[in-house]
Amino acid sequence: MIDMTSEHIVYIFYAFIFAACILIALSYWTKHTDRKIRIQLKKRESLAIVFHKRGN
Amino acid sequence: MIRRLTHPKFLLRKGEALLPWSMAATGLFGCVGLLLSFFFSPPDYQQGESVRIMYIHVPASWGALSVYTFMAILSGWGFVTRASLPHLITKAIAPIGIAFTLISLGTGAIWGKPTWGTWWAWDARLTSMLLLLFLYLGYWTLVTLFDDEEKALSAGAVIALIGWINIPIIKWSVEWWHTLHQPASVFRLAKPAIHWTMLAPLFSMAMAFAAYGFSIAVIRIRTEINIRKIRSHQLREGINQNEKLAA
Repeated sequence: MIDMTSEHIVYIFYAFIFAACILIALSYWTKHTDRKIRIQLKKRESLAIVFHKRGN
Repeated sequence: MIRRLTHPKFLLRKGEALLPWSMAATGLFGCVGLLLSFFFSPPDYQQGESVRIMYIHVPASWGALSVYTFMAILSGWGFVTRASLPHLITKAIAPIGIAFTLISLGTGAIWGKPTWGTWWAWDARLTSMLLLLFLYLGYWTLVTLFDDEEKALSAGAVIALIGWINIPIIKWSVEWWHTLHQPASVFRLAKPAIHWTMLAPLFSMAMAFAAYGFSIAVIRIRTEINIRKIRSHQLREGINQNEKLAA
């Protein structure tokens, strides 16, 4: 079990927080980009359907 | 058969079917790994408690090297078959490699301070790992900044292929040169030099990193395919408008 009184505890804390921040940032960016692109694609596809129905 | 297996739609369908499982695996292995790392693994007899940084530093480093190796294989495949899918996957997974390399370098520096007394040393392992980050960033800059994507992806593939030379250098640097960084203790010709109480959390965290990387890769590949679909719509609209103007 981890010894919370150890002088190294602050380094362990820094390392885990640093890794968590990078993983959260990558997850957020990935999810955000995916959502943005899917909304754009839906708009394009619905436009294409409208044009197709009008015979353009 | 191979053509069906490598079709973007087929790959994406299979990947998306596995996505909930890989996300669940990330959570499960991550929680088990963290529990084992903090409550069941012992401190090191020399490094003390700071050895627990290993449970994120080492899996991130393995991930960084593996992602780059995948990128090199996919780039080679793309060059040989002249298919666009391998280049698309290479571009999709590059940010995962960048994130893993940053974690490896950052946590390594944080681990270095209590162990070596310094955040950074220009030794072979650390310098070759920094070079890997520059290779990743060089690839990413090349494929995102140029307008002509096909040319950019081909140029990026050259970086991925040539840069792969750095991977065995990173792996064997601790054997070839006298480095501050410790030699390999898990993947080596003799049996692992660390006890199972440390190996268990290490492998659990490695599985969590692998499952996380897979999940992000599937979402990023879907995004890249959707970007191409939008471009083809734009192209079609442009052609339609030109036809109208000509008429």
